[in-house]
Amino acid sequence: MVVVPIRGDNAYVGLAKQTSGQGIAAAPNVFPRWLDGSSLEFNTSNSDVWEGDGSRRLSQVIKTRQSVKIKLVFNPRPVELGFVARAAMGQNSDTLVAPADQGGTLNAGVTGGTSTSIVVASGYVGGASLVAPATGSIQLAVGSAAGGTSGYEVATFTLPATGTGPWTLNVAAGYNSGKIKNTYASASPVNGVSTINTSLTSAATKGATTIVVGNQLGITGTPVVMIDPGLSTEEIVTINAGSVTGTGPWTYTLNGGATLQFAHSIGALVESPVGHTLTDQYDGDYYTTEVCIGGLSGGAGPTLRVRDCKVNSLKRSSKAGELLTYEVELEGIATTSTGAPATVTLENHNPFFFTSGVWTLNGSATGDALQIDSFDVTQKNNLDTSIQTEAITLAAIIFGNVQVDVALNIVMQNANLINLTYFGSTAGAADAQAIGSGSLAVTFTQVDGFHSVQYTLTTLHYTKTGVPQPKKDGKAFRIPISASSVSNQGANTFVLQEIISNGQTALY
Amino acid sequence: MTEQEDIRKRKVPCLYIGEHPIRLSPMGRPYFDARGRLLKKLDLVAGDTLMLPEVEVAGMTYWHDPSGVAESELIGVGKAVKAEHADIGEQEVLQALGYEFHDGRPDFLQLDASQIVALSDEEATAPDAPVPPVPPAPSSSSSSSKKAAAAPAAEEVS
Repeated sequence: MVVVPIRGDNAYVGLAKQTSGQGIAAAPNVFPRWLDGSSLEFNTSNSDVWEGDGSRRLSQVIKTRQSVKIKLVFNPRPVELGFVARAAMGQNSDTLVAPADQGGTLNAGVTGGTSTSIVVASGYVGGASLVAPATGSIQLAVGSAAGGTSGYEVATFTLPATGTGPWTLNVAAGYNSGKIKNTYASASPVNGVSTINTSLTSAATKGATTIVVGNQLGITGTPVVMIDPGLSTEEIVTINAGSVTGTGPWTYTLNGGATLQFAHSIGALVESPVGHTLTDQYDGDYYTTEVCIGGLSGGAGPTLRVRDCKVNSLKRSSKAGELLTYEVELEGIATTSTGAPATVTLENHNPFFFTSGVWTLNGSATGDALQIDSFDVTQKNNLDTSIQTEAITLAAIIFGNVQVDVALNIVMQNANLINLTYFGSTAGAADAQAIGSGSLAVTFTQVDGFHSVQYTLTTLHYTKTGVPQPKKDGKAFRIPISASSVSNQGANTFVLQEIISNGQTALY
Repeated sequence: MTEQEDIRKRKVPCLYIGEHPIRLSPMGRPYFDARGRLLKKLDLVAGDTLMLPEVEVAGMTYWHDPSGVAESELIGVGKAVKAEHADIGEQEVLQALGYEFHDGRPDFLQLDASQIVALSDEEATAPDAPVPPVPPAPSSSSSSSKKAAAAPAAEEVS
């Protein structure tokens, strides 16, 4: 008999947001590179049926419920990190960080598929920066609420704008054939998508030490920018604002004697990171999760597409020298075996290193904040998976209470955290009822200086700080710390905030 | 090959419209562009083309017997229904009858034949043939407009 084994790494996990809502699965388009510990498990409930037939034998077993649990462990890249965070945080949890110097409203409504320009009301902050000598192009989110919440499009416009306020901006020919895609009413918001929001007005050669851009919005200090975002010539450079020459267009020198790694054409977009702020919300959207076990490369293993999944928990963790790791657990309602694996596409960016973290613990960036050797922030959505009506599968899944817990391991230097937890303050010396209270903020920034993720927990209540046990091996004492993030009796609008900076202009 | 296998494996030319660069998994090789040429590099950026299974970009429809007796069927590409249910427009009713709709990938757009510049045989076999520009694809925000014609035995849901 011929045995055809399948390698244990022949697998993928794919995710997709169900934009059509519950019941409509979606083909996966996000494929994080999975790590050991990832799994899919059918979660069934069965019932033994003992019937009196004169015997002492079990009559039959019936299945009373079936759902699916998926666990995905991975080292997130900057774009997929936002995708998973959005799934965990809930509906409309993503808002774009609006640049401070760009924002206003439409002076008149525009018609999708027809309008070739927009008129921005005189209140547009930064509008005067868009008229001559400004040239090149700029990307603006048209139709977004302040900061960007939903229902907008990021369109490209050519500069200079005309007028003295209101200003007229023409849609770039390369964007949707030079027309706005959707219809927006007068007074709809218009916002920038990144603080630096310009384009090359002269071609740049590989090895060049300068770039020439069409406007100066947001260029101060030594900002990090991405040239040609999303293209094969995408690269990230730091420019020196102090080196500027010209009065429009403007020439900037790359910082520190750096050179361009690619050639870029006229019109190449030059942008600083796009910020996405995510906070915990009331309920979550449905997602599809597809798990293939042994179906790639012609293998005969199953491809299981699970629709109507929600995130039950998301653990963000790392430790000294390692990569940032996410462990996401989803529970889904219904499964279809599709019989064919998907086209797996992987994000082409780097993961985050623990060593790139900058910590602020209890309001201080020094002391214990510098001695953290591992951490995890675990968000539990406590899904209600009891909603079963007339089918063997669930009728719906909703978020339950959100619970965010933090665990830190710190190299002990003093008794501050022990005192805080048990004696009410870092200087306390006797039992106290007052809970130890603090905060945590940490930012991981990639070497490129462009991609980053920041976690903010405004109010932490310390629940346990382990007193280390003495050991004769003489190694350093470490303190394990547990804390819960709280609303501070409703004063905080979130228990976990995640700010992601990457090149994605669309909302998650 | 059964009709269902044929539906699953049929590939169509697609345009990548995602915002960020992606890398195709080596496990899925070989890959071909919209003109059928073998891709030598696995990196894709916006504007690149790729032959994708039609069900991935346009979505697909399954029918699962609500009584659990008959085997599930892959009805067709996109939103499709059996001929006997062609008059039913309400999605909720169709779902109650056992239809399960799957949307396609949002980061690819299916190209019409007219959008693809055909290569001659000589060009197609050239080792480093230049890629002619692909005309801009029509904008789309809904999966239904990305859908190809329904399978022969199926009717499209309005």
